[in-house]
Amino acid sequence: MATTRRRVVRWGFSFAGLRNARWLAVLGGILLLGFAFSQLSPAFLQFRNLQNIIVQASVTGVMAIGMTFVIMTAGIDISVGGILYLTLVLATALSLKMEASGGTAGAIVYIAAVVLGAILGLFNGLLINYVGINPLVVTLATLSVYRGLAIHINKAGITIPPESARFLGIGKVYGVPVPLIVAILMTCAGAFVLSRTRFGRYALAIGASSTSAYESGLPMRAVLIAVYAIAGLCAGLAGLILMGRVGAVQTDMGIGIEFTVITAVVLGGTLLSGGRASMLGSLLGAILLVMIDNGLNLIHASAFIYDIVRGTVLIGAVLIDRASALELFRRWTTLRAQARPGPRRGEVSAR
Amino acid sequence: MEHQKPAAQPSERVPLLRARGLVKAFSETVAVNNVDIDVERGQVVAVVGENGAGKSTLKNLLTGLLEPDRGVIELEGQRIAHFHAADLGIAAVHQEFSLFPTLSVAENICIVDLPGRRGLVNWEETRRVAKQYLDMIGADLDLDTPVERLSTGEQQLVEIAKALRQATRLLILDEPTASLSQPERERLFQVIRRLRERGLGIIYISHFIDEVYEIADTAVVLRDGHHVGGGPVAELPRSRLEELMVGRPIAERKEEIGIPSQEVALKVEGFTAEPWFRDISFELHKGEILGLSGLMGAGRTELVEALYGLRKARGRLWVEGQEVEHPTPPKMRQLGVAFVPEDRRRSGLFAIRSLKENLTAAALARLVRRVIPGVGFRGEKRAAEEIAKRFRIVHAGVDRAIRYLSGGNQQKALLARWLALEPRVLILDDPTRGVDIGAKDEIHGLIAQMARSGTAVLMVSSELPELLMLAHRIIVLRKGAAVAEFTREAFDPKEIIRYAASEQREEGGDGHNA
Repeated sequence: MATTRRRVVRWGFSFAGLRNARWLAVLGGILLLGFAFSQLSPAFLQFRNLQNIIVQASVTGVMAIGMTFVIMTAGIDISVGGILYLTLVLATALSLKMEASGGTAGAIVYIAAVVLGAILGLFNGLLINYVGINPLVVTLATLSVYRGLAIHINKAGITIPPESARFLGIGKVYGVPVPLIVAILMTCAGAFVLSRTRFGRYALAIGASSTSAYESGLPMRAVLIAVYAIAGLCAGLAGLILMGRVGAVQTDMGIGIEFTVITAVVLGGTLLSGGRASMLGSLLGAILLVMIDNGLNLIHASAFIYDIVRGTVLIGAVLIDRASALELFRRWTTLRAQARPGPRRGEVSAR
Repeated sequence: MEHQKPAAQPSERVPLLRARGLVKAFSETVAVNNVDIDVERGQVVAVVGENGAGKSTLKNLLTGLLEPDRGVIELEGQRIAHFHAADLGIAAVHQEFSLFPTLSVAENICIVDLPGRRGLVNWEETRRVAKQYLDMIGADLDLDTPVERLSTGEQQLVEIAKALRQATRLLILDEPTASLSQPERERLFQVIRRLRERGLGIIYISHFIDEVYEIADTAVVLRDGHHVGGGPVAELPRSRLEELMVGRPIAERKEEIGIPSQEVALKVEGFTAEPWFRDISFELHKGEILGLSGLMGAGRTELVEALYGLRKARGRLWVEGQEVEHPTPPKMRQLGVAFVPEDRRRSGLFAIRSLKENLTAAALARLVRRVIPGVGFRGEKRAAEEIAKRFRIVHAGVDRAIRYLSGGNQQKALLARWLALEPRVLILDDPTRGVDIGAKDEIHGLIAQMARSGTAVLMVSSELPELLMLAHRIIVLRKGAAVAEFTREAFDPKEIIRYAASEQREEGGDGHNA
């Protein structure tokens, strides 16, 4: 067992060993649901539609990666929708200004937006850690502050970003949509940070037990501030994808997206109480949620049904985590691991 | 090789650690009051005292988790303050573990300074280092298992390995044997002796006198936060040490506990909840105090929680002859069963609510005359004041939040809340844990008084002397099984401890077996 385990770690992914791989269950859900939708609507499996799902899921997926860092420390950030909208508005304004002064919007706009997102997230982190306010309260407040600021700036209601600033949303590299590439890169980066860096391990450890982290003298404050900055950074990046994809900035963008993002993270197997996380799971969770919306849309389901289905899927996923096949599989592999030769250790543990 | 920070060369006559006049107070209680302690290199200093004597606070001061209100700590002649224990080569084995349940054994051991360069973690190295420290204490654990899947004893070993890695100068062990089996304990002592030879300073916190004589060079006795005595162990007779700890000759403590009636108040048959306890059966009579003894992790707490319906279990349960199918707390309360949990801060008190509300929470319906909608409860305040007086709770007004009271008074308030219900069965889980001695005596008095008035008392305790003094009978649990039962005439502390701790006597089979 030791050898397989080590190999998994070397891949740089968090889901140490398949026996804890909740993402497999999410993947199964995606395939199952995909099959169901493909039977109900012929349009579902069309290339354009699948591509649409992937691109749409990239926005929530990228945000979910950032959110995973926050949630694995047992924190929460519901201001990400506000960060997304504010960076989107400012990035559009910046690129319009650059266009107007004769240049073209590009890397500078992207960098500015991502940095802005990180700063907004950092502000959350500072409030939470230095003022000592509960993360839920802080981000609830900053959600409306950020959104209010954005609406104040974006008085016109709808602005159209220049074509040159839309690459992250509609661009393609060798025929592969850029949003997908961004989402995959972010997932890999997230998984790497989580499993191979001290920062990632500290974040996970703090979520596993904050008293132990305190007693062990881990740099709690720095880590707990950084995770919110990462969530903000990811929200800013997601905002750029959304801006490019939609090609217009509307006031309703990003409203309620925090719910979808948090749902995706929890679906993916990250514990809300902290201490366990999976980046791939978060991405797949985002894809599953977008697929549900897409499929329901294709089969012309009533508008009211969307939230019901989403909520049900979430509860179902948590139930699956509790018991079921996955747990049986886990037990089986544990038993096999314990059957290895060698002296028996403390007899209590086995029972 | 794992890099060990080289300890500075011992200079002449400067002790490794010297603390002078340490004072630390929490609101109204002075937990540590003017304590001095010296530790030389290669010396094991035992810090002994009863629960609540200030041992853990002293530990937290020496590991930098708390700042002393007054006093000086010097490490190798250098004054240290606002320090980070790991940077100075100081580490502690905490009684309530400082482990991360979802992380692996290897990662837990190395977490404070994960091997690797430039912020990256080298897992191969991490596992190797972890293995090295586990080998040092002779623990054979799987490196990749999350610690939440280990037994308490195994977790203790991980905690020790974790501390060993950090401790290059001073190691503080806080009741490290509480959940270890006999062989594991022996091995720990071997490790301590080896570390002593290597020149490490060791502070060994314990309330087991036997261990002090087995492992320590000198002893420091704390009582109610005061440094009351000590010295080289070889020159300290056992009786003197006990007297210092308790503050008076032990024989004096006695409670009149009365004679239980023949009527059965609580009957339990085949209670089982794997992996915590199995096949527990007993009868508890009116007016009887039945003690549950055993080591930490023996399943005592889980058993009483299950009896009160806080935990699922199989088996049958009767309260005053009436069978209870699926016990739940409201059902048990209705039947006249009261339960005072172990960890008062977490599961007993409403810390930020007033003393009044805390006192009346359980018996509100009985205590107040009338509920006035939107206004409150008439008579609640008077009732609370009466209770506070009856139970001698020292307070500054019943409307003040209970968290401002001392631990002893909080515990008395918690007991009082349930006693106000006049329960027929009272279940107590370590009722005097972390309580100062004065309050402890009063709590003992209350328990005895309850029993005399006909209440059946089931009491878990980590302190054997407490059970020896109060209980009519003692049932010993080991690893979830009732391994022995003693009646008051046959109380024998050595036997009881042997049953609670030993591995070999598994099949026992002599007359005592329950």
